[in-house]
Amino acid sequence: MASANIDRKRINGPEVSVIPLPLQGEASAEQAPLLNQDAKRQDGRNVETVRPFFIKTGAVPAADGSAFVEQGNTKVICAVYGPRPDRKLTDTDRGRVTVEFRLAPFAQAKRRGFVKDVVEKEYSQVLEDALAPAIVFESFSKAAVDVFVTVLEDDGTLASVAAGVSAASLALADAGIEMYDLVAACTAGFVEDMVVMDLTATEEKLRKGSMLLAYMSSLNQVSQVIQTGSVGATTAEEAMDFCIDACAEIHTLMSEALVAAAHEAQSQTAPTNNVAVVDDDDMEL
Amino acid sequence: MAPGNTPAPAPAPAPAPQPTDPAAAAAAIKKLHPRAYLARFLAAGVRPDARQPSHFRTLRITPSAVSTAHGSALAHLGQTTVLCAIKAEVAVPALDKPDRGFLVVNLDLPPLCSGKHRPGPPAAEAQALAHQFAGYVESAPIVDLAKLCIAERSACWVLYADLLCLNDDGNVLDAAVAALVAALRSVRLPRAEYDDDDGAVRASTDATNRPITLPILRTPVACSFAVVDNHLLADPTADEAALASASVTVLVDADRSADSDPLLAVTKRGGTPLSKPQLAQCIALARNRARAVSSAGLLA
Repeated sequence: MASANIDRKRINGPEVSVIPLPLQGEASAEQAPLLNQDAKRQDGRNVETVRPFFIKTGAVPAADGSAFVEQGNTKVICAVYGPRPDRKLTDTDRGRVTVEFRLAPFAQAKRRGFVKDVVEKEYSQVLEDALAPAIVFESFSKAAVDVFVTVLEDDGTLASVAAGVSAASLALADAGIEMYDLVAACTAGFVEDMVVMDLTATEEKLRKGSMLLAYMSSLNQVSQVIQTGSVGATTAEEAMDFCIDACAEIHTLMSEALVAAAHEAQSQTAPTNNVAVVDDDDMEL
Repeated sequence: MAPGNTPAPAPAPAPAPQPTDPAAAAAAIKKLHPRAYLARFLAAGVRPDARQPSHFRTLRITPSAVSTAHGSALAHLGQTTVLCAIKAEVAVPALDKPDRGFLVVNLDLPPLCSGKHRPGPPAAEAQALAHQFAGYVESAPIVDLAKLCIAERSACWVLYADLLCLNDDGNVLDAAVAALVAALRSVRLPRAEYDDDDGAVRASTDATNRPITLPILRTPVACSFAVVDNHLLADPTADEAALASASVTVLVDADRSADSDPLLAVTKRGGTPLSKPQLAQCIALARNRARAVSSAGLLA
């Protein structure tokens, strides 16, 4: 936690604290190879399999729209506020969408401070760019929509960003912001000469490059690709194909979650809930 | 023409052109005349969410919610949600307390949790709340910090308890205390060895090999009340808290709520004076609540 600039708005502990060293002779999981002898990864997946997805909308009732996405151990929560008035937007007919991407202090193996760092700023921009092609900015002119994405648990940072894109897109839909399509995102890593989908935090240490792809399935359009690391053109193409297939699957799950949420909302509003019933026996804790 | 900021003693019943949907009309009154809306309910002895003034919302705890932490818990108080995760690191003990570890508690109200909070550094209100919360933890320690010492003067554990409000529907403080207590109870630490030669602390990195639990000294339960037009409302929602002229928080030790001295802290904020019987009522309600929470085994 050694940082030159102390965060005076929060409570700081001792000046320096570190995570303890591993025991001598302890086999660390990080040194294990990517694949075991059965060509399976540590969590039992094949190279082209993405982790199971769990999607829920309405995770933050105080927000205008929200979503919670779990991908393996990775947990991402997203809340959308708006469209709300913005004084800065007087000279344009378009609306504005800002994304704030945060990693919770406890999300990773090493604790992070509360102050926003460069990584978070970069990923905020990545999310904004991935979502922008899908949003109908003219539908909320002169108003601002704020999207807050927080990673509660990070098992693979790039995969968390991808989950953040999917969560943000869902939350925007939940908030009723007009969009051309839902954006689903997915990641691949390049390990040795293989394309490996959806790397976990321990697997990320083995990669020599990575790809993040955001895809609008109904429009059949890619809204963003970020590829890093030196790989051949065919490998990159292969990774893109894998990602597009995975995104299409995620897109289906997202639409299903939205439809389910809409059905639930409908069945809840059918009987009017404006009648207050007080149950004396119910000792509310 | 518009009533503006006048107190609006009674809701001027809008001259409804057509008898509209009563639910929609109620929602409109709630938005336009929130104070009158709430006053109508309170006059009938009930609150908009069907609770009686002295009733608290349901508290639910989900333990071990974050696997990257050494201990964690998610507390739901009605729709208010606070996630507490505790991470352990090692440090050199403070010079004046060479045999003590650290517990560093931060309560964060990010812009995610409510439309009230804007991005950037925490606002004064959020900072004040976080300090009030940290003050409770400091004045009434939940864990014995001496148990966090690894080697006197050389090494100790630092527990960073980071609390993140995920949805703010009022009374974040009560939910935060519950989340912290539950998270501290779920903390599992590895056995740490201090090496005199190189001054390093070594511990197993295996997450399944964490045998040490923390002995809990007490189980604080926070109970907050809002004063709205001389009505005392237990566990206010965000809508109620926005109209409150004063707030009272009573911190009670649930382990000894039946004893003669269960009080850990009483905080009253806001301008409205509070009568002595009202304060006594707060304390009595808080003791009942603490007893109910502990008998439900929520924080065990």
